[in-house]
Amino acid sequence: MSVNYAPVLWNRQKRMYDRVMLGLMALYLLVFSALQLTFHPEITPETLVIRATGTLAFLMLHIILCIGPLVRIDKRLLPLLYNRRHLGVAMCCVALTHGIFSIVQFHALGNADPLISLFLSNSNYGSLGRFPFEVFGFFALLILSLMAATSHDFWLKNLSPKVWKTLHMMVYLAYFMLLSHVLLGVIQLEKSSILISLLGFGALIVTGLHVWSGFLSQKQTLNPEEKSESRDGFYPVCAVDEIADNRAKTVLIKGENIAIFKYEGQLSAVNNLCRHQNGPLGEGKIVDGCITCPWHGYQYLPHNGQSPPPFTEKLETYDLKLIDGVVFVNPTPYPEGTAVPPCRIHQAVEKLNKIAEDYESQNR
Amino acid sequence: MKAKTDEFYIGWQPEAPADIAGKVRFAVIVLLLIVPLIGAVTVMNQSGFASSNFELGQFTSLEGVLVKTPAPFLLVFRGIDVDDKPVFQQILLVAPGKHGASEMLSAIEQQKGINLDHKMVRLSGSLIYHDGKTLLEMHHLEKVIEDKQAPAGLPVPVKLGSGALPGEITDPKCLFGVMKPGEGKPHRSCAARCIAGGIPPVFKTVAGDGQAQYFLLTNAQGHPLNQETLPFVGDAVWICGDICRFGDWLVFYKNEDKNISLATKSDLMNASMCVTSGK
Ligand code: HEM
Ligand code: FES
Repeated sequence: MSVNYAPVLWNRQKRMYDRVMLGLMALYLLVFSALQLTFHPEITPETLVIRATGTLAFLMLHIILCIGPLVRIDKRLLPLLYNRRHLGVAMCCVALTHGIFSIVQFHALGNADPLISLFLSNSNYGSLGRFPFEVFGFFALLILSLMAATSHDFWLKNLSPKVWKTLHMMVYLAYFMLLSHVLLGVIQLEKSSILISLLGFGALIVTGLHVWSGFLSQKQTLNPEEKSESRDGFYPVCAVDEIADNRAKTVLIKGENIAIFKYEGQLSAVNNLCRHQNGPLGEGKIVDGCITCPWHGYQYLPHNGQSPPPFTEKLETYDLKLIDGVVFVNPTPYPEGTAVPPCRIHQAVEKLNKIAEDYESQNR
Repeated sequence: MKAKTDEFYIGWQPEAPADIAGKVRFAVIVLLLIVPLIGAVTVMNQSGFASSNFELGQFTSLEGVLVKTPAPFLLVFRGIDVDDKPVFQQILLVAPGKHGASEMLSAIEQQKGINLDHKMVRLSGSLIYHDGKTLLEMHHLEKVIEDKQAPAGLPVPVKLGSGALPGEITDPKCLFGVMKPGEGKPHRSCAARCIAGGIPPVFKTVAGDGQAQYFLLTNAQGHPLNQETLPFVGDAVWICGDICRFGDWLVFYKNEDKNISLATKSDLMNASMCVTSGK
């Protein structure tokens, strides 16, 4: 959480993340170049750079796209998500190297402006096999660069998380365009079935993980029938015992994404979307009395949805009721940061229930 | 597959909980194996590159007769063959970047006020060579050798036959050494830029035995066919016309009545079958 915008707020985990990332990138480039020079010594330096950076950027994009669903599937992988932004910026730099080298190599020093040449040299826009595949690369690179350029929290604040998130969703469009870039480009020359299978395998992993994690998170989010009886605008969610201590249940009612936290014998409900990057707060935990986002650790006080001073982020809050051990929520939000008295879990009622249960089982 | 313990990762804390750190370590080890493996599989399944050459930054001086048609060539005298006939190496001239040599030669002619056609000259430039063909990326004209007569017996076009051939229209500068790959789909727009810039198009056919043939592509009058070939650069196409031998080059004079048409990939494999008639 940043109050004033330093370029990057470094910490130990970020440094470790970046070291591993740069190490893996160097390893790839080293292996790729060494094998290329050993088995294809005729290669020109430009082609080596173009191929090494193009394939590395595409591989990194696959990894970036897989991290989101992977952490949904296994929460212990959340550290992979923590500094994904640096992974994105690094990928963009590698992709820019590929793009710039390609434009210079294939379009510079001719009788037309290189950028015009990129679009007009091959004008077979009406044909699939002859399509100018570079154009897909260009627009994908534009999206990736825009994302990298606006990745800082400064832009997140200024563009609003919704706009920012929408922009970042365009990464899927970029991915699709890059698949076309490769299939209609180099694969038309390098027809190896292994390379085509590798591409298909990558696409299968990316889509498969998204479908799987989508299925899981749908199961995890309670989705009560909106028709189910509302008592004065309150909807039943779950039994209070179903929520673990210091954790939450997530519920989607009337378009409101709500996280209901249980802590210190009481319940509070806040909007589920973290004000940083829309992280799922309901998958977070109460740490030091604060709801802590699982993605980058932003914190909010459960009873009023406000980040503790000096931070200024605020969430919408909701009214809760506890009737016969069932949690009810009113999905009409209070304005961001409104204090709502936590709903106390009546210890006595719980104790009584327990005694009654024990009594029944003894007399069975 | 949920975490069994109640561990929770917070990035800004210096240490990650043990169970989480272990899982991440496992993921990093998987990446350490997969990342180089993908690089290796990619490299090992490429089809490889031509053994063509471009002597970038290295200059060679060559003396010979400059001819401007059907494309700018330098004819370098290499001695006498067993039949007492003079042997010339025909070096196709191109300019730096994606440009043909014609413009550069015209500029020199204008500046010097002479016609260079069939003059003895000394040129400096970088050699490009592959598969028995040589090109020179002209750097500059060192001198016009006024006191030397052009040797006798310069090659003239000799008709070999006519017919239709399937092949690919390429730009010779990239194909013979400047770029790898210098042909095919990835290189298409570059080849189009080169041919638009005046580099004479070369038609490449591959016979059933894998042997490639290269034809300088001209119209029926022997002028380079740059504009007309642009939409087909990098494609498999059929071209109809007359084939001539011109020294150590073949020239394909495209028939004016028959348009260039797209061919299938399997047509390309049977290039040798398609020359329809002899002389
Ligand atoms: C202005 C943007 C781009 C241009 C002009 C461009 C151009 C090219 C060209 C000409 C090739 C074929 C090169 C060859 O024969 O090896 C190629 C291949 C490729 N490109 Fe791009 N590209 C662009 C952007 C991108 C981006 C953003 C990515 C991925 C993040 C990418 C990934 C690839 C891959 C994986 C290949 C196949 C491997 C290779 O041949 O290099 N390209 N690109
Ligand atoms: S999304 Fe980044 S901390 Fe919540």
